[in-house]
Amino acid sequence: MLRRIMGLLQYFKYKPKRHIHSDTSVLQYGDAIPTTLKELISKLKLIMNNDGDLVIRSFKLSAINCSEGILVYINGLTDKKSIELNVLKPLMAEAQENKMKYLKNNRKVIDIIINEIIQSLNCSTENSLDKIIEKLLGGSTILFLQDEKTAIIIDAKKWDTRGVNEPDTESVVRGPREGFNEDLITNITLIRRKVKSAKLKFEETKLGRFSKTRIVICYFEGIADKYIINELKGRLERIEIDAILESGYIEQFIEDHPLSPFPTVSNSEKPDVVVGKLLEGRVAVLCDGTPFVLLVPRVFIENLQVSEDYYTRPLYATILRILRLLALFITTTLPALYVAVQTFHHEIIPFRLFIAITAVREGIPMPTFFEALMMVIIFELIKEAGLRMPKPVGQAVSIVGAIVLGQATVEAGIASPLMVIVIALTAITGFIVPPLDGTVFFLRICLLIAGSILGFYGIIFALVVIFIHMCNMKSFGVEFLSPLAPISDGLKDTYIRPPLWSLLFDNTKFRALEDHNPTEE
Amino acid sequence: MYKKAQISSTQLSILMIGFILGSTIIIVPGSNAMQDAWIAYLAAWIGGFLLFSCYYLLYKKFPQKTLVEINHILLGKWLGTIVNILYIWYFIHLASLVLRNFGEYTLTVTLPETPLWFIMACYVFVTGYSVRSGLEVTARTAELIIPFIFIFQVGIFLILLPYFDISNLKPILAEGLQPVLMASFSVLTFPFGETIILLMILPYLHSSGSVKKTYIFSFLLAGSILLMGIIRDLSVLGADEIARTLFPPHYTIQQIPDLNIDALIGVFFFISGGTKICICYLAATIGIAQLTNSHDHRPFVIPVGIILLGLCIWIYESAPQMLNWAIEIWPLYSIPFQIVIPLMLLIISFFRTKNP
Repeated sequence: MLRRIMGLLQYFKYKPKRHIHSDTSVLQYGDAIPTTLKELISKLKLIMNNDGDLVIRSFKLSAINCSEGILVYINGLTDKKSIELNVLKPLMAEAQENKMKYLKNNRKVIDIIINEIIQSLNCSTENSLDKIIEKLLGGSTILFLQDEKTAIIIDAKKWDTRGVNEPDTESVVRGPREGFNEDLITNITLIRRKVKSAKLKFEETKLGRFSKTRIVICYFEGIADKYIINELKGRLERIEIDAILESGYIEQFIEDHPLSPFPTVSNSEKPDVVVGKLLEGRVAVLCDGTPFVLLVPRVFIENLQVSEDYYTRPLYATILRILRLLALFITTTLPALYVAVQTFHHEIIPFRLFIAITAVREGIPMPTFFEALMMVIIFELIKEAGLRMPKPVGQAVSIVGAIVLGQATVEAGIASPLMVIVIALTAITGFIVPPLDGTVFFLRICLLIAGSILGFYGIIFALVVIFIHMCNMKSFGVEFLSPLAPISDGLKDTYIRPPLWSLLFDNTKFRALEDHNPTEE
Repeated sequence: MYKKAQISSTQLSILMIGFILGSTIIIVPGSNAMQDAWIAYLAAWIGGFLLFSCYYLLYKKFPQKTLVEINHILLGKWLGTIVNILYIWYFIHLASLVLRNFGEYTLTVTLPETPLWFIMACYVFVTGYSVRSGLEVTARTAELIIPFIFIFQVGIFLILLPYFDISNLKPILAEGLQPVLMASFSVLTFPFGETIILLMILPYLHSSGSVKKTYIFSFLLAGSILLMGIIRDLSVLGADEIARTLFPPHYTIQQIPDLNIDALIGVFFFISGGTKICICYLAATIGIAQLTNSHDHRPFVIPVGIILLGLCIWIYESAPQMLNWAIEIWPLYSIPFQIVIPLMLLIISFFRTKNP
């Protein structure tokens, strides 16, 4: 039985190869391009299932006065104006010189068209029909010629994208307000605009058997550790999936500890955050179709740091950091501490307060533990409801939340007013460390149970287990608790935020260990 | 193999501090000498230095070897194995003593209705998890939490300063030297001599670290924290009251008016005692692994944990018996492990290196 459970855990740890659709025949249409245009058109229609958005425009190539051609594109993905002006118009225009050249020099039609006729920026040739279809679906316009086995691909894409807005997830008081959007090219541009350096590298791959989503790995050459880059590439290569709809898919495939409550891959919606982390030696993964950019490695202390720390003055930033640490402590342990004090350690409360608490708690039928558990869960439910609701209904939720949580429970004698204060404080402080949102709830419940069983001892048992777990964790070869334990050079910029001139952009913060081999002999 | 694990000198010193503080922070070492406990303690401290230097010399002779391997080399296959088994027993025994200490403390002070085995099982689970994760993880965890003990001890000392009554330390040496020396011997073997176990861990120190400096630094720091504790307890409570209480520091902290933080001392005891248990537990599992030529210490973690749990429940009848044993019998029981065998090993090693 134990072996079975261990086997299951192992399965989660090292995902074995699983072939969902190992035959890629679904995607193969035969390589060669049919020579006659008629055959080609019928084949294209067959492949595309006569879809309404496939447009085939036949025309006569007057420019070289020899043959006919067709332009194929997907309606809605192409910059029609550009194609009309720069491709169609020159091709159909009469031009005697070109015709002569073609006749005289025996040059290839394709070369002449690309070099002398089409005025589009991005042109290439392609022989394989499979790849042509892929490009076509990606938004390129394809030019086929009669009796030619090569097609010309004109890359003139245009579709509607969201503008560069301020992201909702990471709002700032001071700092740039731009955020990534769903378009990969825009996102790359946003990063490039921040740093004009040739050392900033972008490497593109495609992921997803059907979606062929464009993924870009971004890092600073010379700053980012080679081991981390290679490890990341290796993990990305091993991904086998049909479609990537959000970078969260990638995150779940590449993270080190899928079963841990602590995330080991961070994400951000803001270019300044991403660039700052790239400069610290991290590696970013941009994914087409989502504004969330992944960053590895992620260490624990990052959850307490905000980009704004570096924009405001050091003293204030330091105070905020310490407050954030305090908030993390409060939000995870406060309900547990309250329950422990109520159940086991009455003596720790000053006597008068104790009398007040006891008087208030007199009419409450439930043990403190259930009271706390109930309130924690109710709060989480209200939070979730507020998130998923359409905005106009949101107000109703807040009213219900305020009345149910705040007043009615107390008046009905289900929870004590002190418990409401405790839960309110827990909830408020929970919003201070947003990157650890899900983690915090899990830890809160664990500590609550531990605290109700053994009091302070239970809490410290659970905390130490959590510490050991965090010490065990690694993110891409970097210890999760890195600058804190083992104590290393980065310690300067953790609990406090020293002045920028003393930091001097210490770029070597995250070097993976020398000793990477997990198999020791 | 396990040998690859490496810890920095900061981590080693923090582990050592945690080890020396260990379960000592909830009793008054040398309390047999009544008001002269601090003299007994100072004498033991100096004696501890001597023992330390003896262990250090042994380490210098074989910098890459653990105690088990040193025994094997110096004493030969058969005798070495017997001595090793004795040592591993000693480590397990010590761990279970500390464990029982903690269990009794919790039972007496905070959770009188909780079954003893439950607290101990939780404790064994936590330490076992840490040991299973290896020395590096244990050291990192210690690095995170041990500094709090230091802050706590200094804080309590400062808060209690107005309540100090220095006359409690007098008369000095009223009953002659003999009881003081007896007490100091007990202190020598209780926290200081036990550092023989660290010989199992020293080889894993990162090559850049200096053992001597780390040793002296942590010895001084941990020693002064303990000394602070003794002076605090003696001058606040007085020798008579200490003799009457089971866990004097707990009682001392209760003397702070309007602030009842005595539950916290249990928490800090858990941290320091946990470090001590972890080191003993680790030393035992590594020792067994090396004895059996195994590459991995992890398979032995669960069996040793079960032995620990059983042993610590079975070993004493009650808390007074436990304290009595720790003060009266433990020193005698420890003589061969802490003094005789290391000295013998040192002498043999001198001969060995002279005539190779």
